[in-house]
Amino acid sequence: MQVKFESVKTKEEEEALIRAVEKTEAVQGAIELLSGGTTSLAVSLNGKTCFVDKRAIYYIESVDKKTFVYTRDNCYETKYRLYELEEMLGGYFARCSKALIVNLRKVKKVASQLGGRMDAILLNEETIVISRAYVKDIKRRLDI
Amino acid sequence: MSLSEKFKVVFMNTVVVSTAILFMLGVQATFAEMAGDGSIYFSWYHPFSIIFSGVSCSIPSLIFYTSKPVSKRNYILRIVIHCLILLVLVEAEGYLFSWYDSFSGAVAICVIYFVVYAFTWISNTWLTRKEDKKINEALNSIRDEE
Repeated sequence: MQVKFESVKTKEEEEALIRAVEKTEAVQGAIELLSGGTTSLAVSLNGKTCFVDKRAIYYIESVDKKTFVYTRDNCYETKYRLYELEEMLGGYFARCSKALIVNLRKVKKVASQLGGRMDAILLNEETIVISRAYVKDIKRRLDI
Repeated sequence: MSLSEKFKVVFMNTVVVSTAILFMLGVQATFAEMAGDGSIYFSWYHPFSIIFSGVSCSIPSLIFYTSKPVSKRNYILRIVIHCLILLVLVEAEGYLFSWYDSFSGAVAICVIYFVVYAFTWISNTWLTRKEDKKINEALNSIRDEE
């Protein structure tokens, strides 16, 4: 891809235009970077604050008004609420129930279960439940 | 499950059930015509009775939607209860709308009911699996490598 840089005089004039055949992962990454999207999240583990790369997050759960961020091997706590995280993380982070946000990139497969439920098996073999009410939004995010 | 979700479930099931009833009636009428029996005709209220039956037979399906996971045994029990409630509803509506006028007619309705019931389950299962497949294919294209 050709990359052009053009100098402008004011901040208001700054803009980026990406012309591509399709929105690949690299293009999506560039969009998030240029638009100032979140790439890491402030969390705490054993009282110590640290940052977790959003690509490492599997899912985020709200339990008793506390929010927990799960990666492959760890569970962190964060001060953010689920609705804030939904806005901050965007992209493939989708609400799958009232108390859960899942990173769709970490979902190995989904399978409908008895009673209208849908199970999502993650890459670490953990299973989380997707409520029927959120399937439509997940499909929209997947461009289905 | 919210009220709008319940409404959606009932509406979708109404469409499936009404279509299945129409299909079965169509098959029955076609066979009768082929056999040279031109006596089959439909009264003015039959289309409405099919829609009414679709709605009334869809409402009991809400027993399958629970907030908590249910065991396979519990689910099979729900299917049996659902099937029997629907059979009673269909036979009662059949009597009310004059779908049959003799015992043999009631038996025929019973047989048609079981065919429609099986058709509905098979089509629902097929649609669900199709949706799962679509989602899984989309997930394959965005999944992180680990």
